Amino acid sequence: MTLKLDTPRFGTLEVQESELITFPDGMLGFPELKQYLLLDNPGGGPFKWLQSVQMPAIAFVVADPLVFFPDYRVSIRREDLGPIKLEDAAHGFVLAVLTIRPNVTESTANLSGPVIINVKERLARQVVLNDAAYHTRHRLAPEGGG
Amino acid sequence: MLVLTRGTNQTIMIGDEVEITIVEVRGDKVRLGISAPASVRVHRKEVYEAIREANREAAAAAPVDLAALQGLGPGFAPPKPV
Repeated sequence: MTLKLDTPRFGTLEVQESELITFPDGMLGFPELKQYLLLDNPGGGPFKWLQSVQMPAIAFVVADPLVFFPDYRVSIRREDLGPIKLEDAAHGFVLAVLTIRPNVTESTANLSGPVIINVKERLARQVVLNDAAYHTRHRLAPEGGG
Repeated sequence: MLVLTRGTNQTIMIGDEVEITIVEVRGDKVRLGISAPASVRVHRKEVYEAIREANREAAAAAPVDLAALQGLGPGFAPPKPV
């Protein structure tokens, strides 16, 4: 089934229902928004967008965290795998949610709440890491750089 | 709020499936062992709150003008679902 989605950022998108990614529990703080599209950033770069289907004004900038934080390691608990039917954590596709600041070089990545996507099943979940090394505001660009 | 007194190695049950055991008490810190079904999310409240707050902030800060991200990557291509 084709869906037509009017978005403030990407204009009108025509997408197949099979292209949607379902978050059974939503993103934290947005439990009612369960369906998203994963779009490449039109301007390129290592960025993608998680575009809400139900609320087109809501979209998150996301990126492969390893591009910015090569040492980043996600340890996913078993209880987080079931809801997205992921049998092996290694098959999950990890994205970090970014906060784009007015001065883009001050933008940050949330490394304590990564999004894990089961690409095969098109199911995803934002997991909470119990790792004190990570928090919600890791700067993408080194201080004073960029 | 229900307040219960428990000692080391004693457990409380929440419903039929969630068990919380006092593993160790040292000073003002208590170590808890939690056993819950896979469908129950268990995490420290402050971490959960921080992520929720970060999501709200990220959603509010996501630029509507896509050119704002332009400085971070080359070229322009029409968006397509991945």
